Amino acid sequence: MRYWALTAIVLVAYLIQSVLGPYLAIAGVVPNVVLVVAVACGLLFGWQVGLGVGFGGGLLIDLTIGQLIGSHALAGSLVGFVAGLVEERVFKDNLLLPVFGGVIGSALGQTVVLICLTIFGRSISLSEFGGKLLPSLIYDTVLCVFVYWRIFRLYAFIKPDPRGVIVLRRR
Amino acid sequence: MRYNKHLRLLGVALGALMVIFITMALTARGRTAVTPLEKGIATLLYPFQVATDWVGDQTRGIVDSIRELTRLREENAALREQVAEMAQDRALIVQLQHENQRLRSELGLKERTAYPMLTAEVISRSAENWYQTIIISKGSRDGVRQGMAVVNWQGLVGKVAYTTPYSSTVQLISDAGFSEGGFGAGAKLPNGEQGVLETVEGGYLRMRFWSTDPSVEVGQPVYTSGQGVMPADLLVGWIEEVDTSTSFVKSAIVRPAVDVHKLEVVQVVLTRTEDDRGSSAP
Repeated sequence: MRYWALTAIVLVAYLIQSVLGPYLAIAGVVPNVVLVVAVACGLLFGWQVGLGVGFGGGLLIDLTIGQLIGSHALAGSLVGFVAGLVEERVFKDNLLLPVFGGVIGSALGQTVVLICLTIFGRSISLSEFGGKLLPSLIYDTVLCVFVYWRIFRLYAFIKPDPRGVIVLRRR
Repeated sequence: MRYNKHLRLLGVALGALMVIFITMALTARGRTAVTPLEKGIATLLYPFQVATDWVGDQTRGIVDSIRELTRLREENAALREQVAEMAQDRALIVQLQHENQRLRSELGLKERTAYPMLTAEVISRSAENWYQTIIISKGSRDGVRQGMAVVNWQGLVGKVAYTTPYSSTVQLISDAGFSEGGFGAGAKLPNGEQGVLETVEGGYLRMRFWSTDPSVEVGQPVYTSGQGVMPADLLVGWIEEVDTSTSFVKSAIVRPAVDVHKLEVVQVVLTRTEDDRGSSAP
């Protein structure tokens, strides 16, 4: 496993969300790039990687926001972990995998953040949450499909087969 | 063996959860200090944010230019060369008038306010859906301190949540957590009625009056009273709706004077914050 490549992916996702996020916002909804990357990494490389990527990226987002540090780290690691649990049971080239991953990951991640906000006294109403959740789910799902296939292309590079590369030659 | 491994994993997970919850609890409310790690990250991000802001401005400029060019071409086809030139001149005049008006407003604000102000540019907005914050181009090196009020020519924009040497994060009045940490202490009407403000859904504010029978009307301006972290007499907004229910505590809905979605330039009110005042605070 090339961990430096995964670290680079997390850093790029973090930079895109924190720097370009406000510019990519549609109808006031910012894409959850880090969450989506955690889902994609979990689905492709298993729960350990999903958890690590989600935690690292989420913690960076938390430190940037400066409030309720740990909420995004918790959401990211949980989403990456859950996505990674199904890694061995699914076909990685299934077209619907990133779609379901995006919907479930985004919903789960944002619900965890909302629960943390509610526990620690920030009043966000259910109607406001519902109003933002649906557009956010759509946005994150589209993004997840795109991100998943980008990382899928790098699969062999990030996780090279220990037996080496099989080269087929014509006689 | 396998049982022990699972038990150890469970212990690690529970430990990590506990650490995360303690960190969240410690950082849930307004803090007086930012960790060097957060400062470092914000300082590292600053050049990226400035560069993105610059690229955004340039792109917007190019897009605006393309739009303008298309419009002028259409007019040119309809009204010939001379009319097209006039239209171009007119567009320029409108742009200059707009800029002139904005600058006059900013200047007027500085002249009519007793507090020293620091002009700052908005370089970025919140990268998260549940926080309403902006990042401005002035930081602790310029004298900006946590808790300082931020205004523009329309009225109160928010307060400085935390600073780094080169930039500051401003919590907008539309943020759900804005009324925490001292802001709730004071607001007043021109007739002297006083109360506290809290953020409600949709970016509006609710003013709860001290008096059980306040004299309040729709359309009245609401100012900060100077009690709490905000300096006095900053325009917060306008009374939009008066609660006529028979409850003991009377309240009114306040529409913020500032459109938080159209912020380009803001002023930081350089008053002494609670930290500066220390124990001699009134």
